[in-house]
Amino acid sequence: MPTPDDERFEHYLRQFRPLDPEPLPNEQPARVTHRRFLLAAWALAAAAVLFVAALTMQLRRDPAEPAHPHDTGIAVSAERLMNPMPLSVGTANAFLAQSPSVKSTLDQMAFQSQTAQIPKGKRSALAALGKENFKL
Amino acid sequence: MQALHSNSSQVEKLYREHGAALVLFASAIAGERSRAQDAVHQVFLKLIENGDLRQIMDKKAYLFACVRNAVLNDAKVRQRNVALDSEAPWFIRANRDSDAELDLQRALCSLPDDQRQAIILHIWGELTFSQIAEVLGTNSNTAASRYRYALVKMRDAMCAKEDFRANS
Repeated sequence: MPTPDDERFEHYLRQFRPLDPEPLPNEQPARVTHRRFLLAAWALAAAAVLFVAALTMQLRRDPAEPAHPHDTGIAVSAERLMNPMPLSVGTANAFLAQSPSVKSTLDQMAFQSQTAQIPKGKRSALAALGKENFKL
Repeated sequence: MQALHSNSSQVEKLYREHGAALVLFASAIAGERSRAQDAVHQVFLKLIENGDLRQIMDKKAYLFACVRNAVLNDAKVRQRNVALDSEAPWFIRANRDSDAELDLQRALCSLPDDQRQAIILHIWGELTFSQIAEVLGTNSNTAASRYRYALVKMRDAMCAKEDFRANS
């Protein structure tokens, strides 16, 4: 059983206050770091969107693009096929974007090598083999 | 995100409310205030990072138990026990009586560990004997008994130096 003396002594002890603790470390810097990370993520996402947009614009402004905007997609593709440019993913995408169907695009790409013009003074390997006389 | 921020605010509020008593309690176990402060910081930073206090019924008792475990684990890792420093300040030194705090601290340091923890938890932690029993892993009667023994010893030690009745 607590005595009156005990209660008075408890009251006396409660008058002493423990020292204040130090503030929690890195509390504010952690939040600032988190905010910076979010800002950096948003900036990176915005940069990625801008990059993709710029790339799309670049593809649309390709030099092989027709001078007259009323030209059809097939005409453009044919013109491109006459151009001895190597086939790349970018040009394939451009074909797909401007052609009426996937099948026609594939047909055009498949026959590209046959329609390509051979420079003067040279001939194709197929032509040379066709004229060769083999003696067995 | 909102839940994380809410949890962080709640943890900071708990630190403001109980930080001083928790560091005092940790100092009474660890011996060094710097180690005690580190242990308390460790507990609260863990709670901010990945703790969910919503499921904890008695948050105050939980915090004291966490701090006690952190200090004891730290002592295990270091594989050494540091003697209590009765000169390093634990209490705010009031201008009215600068020696009284030192006498109190010396009286606390002279107590056995379990009694010292019981009296700090009850007087400055403001925990009930049931909560003290939960923190110390014992039953309420044992916690109350330890507290009574500690109180008598401290009163005897401090009354030998001064008459506390004059200050009460």
